[in-house]
Amino acid sequence: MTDLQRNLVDLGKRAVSPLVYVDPEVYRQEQEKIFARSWQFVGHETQIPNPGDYVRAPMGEESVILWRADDGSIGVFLNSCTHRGMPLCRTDGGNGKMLTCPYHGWSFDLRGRLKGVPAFAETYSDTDKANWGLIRIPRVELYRGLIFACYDADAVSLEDYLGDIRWHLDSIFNRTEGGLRVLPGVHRWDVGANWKFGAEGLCGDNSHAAVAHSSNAGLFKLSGVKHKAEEGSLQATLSNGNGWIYLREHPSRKTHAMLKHNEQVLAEASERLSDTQREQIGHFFTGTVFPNFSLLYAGCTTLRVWQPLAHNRTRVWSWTLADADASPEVIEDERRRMTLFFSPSGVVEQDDGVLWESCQQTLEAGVMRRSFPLNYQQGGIAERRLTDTERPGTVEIAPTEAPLIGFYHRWCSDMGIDQ
Amino acid sequence: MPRLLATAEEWSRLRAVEQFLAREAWLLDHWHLATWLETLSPKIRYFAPTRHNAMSIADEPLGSAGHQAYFDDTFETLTLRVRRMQTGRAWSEEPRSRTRRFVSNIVLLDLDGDRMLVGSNLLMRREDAAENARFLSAYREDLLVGGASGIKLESRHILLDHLTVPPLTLIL
Repeated sequence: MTDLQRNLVDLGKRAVSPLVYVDPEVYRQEQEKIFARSWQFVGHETQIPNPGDYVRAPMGEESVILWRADDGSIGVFLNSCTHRGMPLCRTDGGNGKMLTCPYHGWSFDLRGRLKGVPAFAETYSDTDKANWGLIRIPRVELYRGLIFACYDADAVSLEDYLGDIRWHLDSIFNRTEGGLRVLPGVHRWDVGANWKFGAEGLCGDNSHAAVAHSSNAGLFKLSGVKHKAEEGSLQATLSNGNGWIYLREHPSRKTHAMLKHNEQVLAEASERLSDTQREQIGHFFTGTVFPNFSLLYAGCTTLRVWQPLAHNRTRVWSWTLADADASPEVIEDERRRMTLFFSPSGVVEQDDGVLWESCQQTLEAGVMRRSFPLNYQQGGIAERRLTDTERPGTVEIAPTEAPLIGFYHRWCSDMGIDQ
Repeated sequence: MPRLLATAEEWSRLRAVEQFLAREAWLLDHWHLATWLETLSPKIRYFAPTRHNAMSIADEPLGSAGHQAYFDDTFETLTLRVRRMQTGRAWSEEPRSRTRRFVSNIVLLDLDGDRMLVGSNLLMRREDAAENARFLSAYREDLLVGGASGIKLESRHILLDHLTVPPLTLIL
């Protein structure tokens, strides 16, 4: 353990050094110790339903291609030719059995195999094409339609990695036979702040909403904007650094079509989910799967990747989902709601981005602020803990920052920092 | 395709359109947002689709209903956006940013009675409270309706020249 690491996080005091956000060396170590070993969300299977379908996705700092093979399996490859590194997919995606590099013409099939090299027979003598296929991410597993990939061949299974957050994922992705599908197009924007601001926000920062987003109170029928925690609004510190926020939402905040659709979903879910899981349907939630995959529902559903690009730069990829068998009217309601609230023009989202950038710049500016820790001490009060519940993890009445201590517990463990 | 202007009537309409767009940019740069709302038709559709890289053989359409969008607003939601800005707690624009909108390359695409389909380029520099300065570039296709007594914006289709967008905190 280096001196730098020793002073980063004090879980006992629930204090975190600004260096976790602003130090380029910490960021570099995160790439090696966290992103190179973690299961990372790369897409949803409805993005590539047919053989040959491919889509470009973020994975850590890099770009990968998700490609559906002829047998229906999904391969994940670095988006880079093995000859000179040229990206093979420069669109958002498409369909094809072959991708050909525009630089020297090397071509690869949908299983990542190198198939064609111009003048190969005449000009290459000791090259075995089998050794020069696309760089394959060794582990690819699905959980209820969510595609995850992992660079570490020895990693635990995806199910073990997800741990008890599966209870929440099931309540979303297993509530109906038809499941959810990703709507076409992706919202993509850059924020001049560390990736953990977003990941923490949806993991367990509940108390910012009433303040950061207070301009919306009273104007928009917006879930999540409350000055006091309503009864039944809960947060969970889950296994492996994951966290979940669940806020009860008043039904008047939905359109008639959405409420009707919700009733249909609830009816179908009664066969598939527990009563407690079912109770969550239609209510606001956010969650983060460590390190940088988040989910949010506020009358519309989004999946998020907080792609790290530098210690002070994050690219947000945000996909909108809807129930596959919802009516066009409901899907349109949800899509427009996503645009108005949680796209980069969203009346909620745009405040977060600016606040995160301001924090980043202030913490980064000089050695004085950096030498004082950040406070993560909200919550963790025994009397506010729910003990008699089937909900997984440590469940507290919101708001609490305890899930963020869980996040940093995992972070320290991956970074090799003793606590 | 832009029209080739021939008649005095067409030139006069173009001048009216140019002045409408210049005045609109002035209102927005000077934060006269309530007055800006008065330039809108109650039927306004304000739309900016997401962009993607497309090969030349796959023609990228301007985008339509159902397409994922960065803006997809009606008169009601634009009014809410403006009212939010007036709360004093819209932190993305408090303290206010400094903006300058440059509207140019104005062309008439279609004239049909009092309805004018107009193309224009927008370059906006925005410097936020923390002095982060960013440029935003876009093409806009507007349906303007009206004549001498007043023009209203009935539809605006914004094509952002960004695959990954800068902060979209303002009306474009």
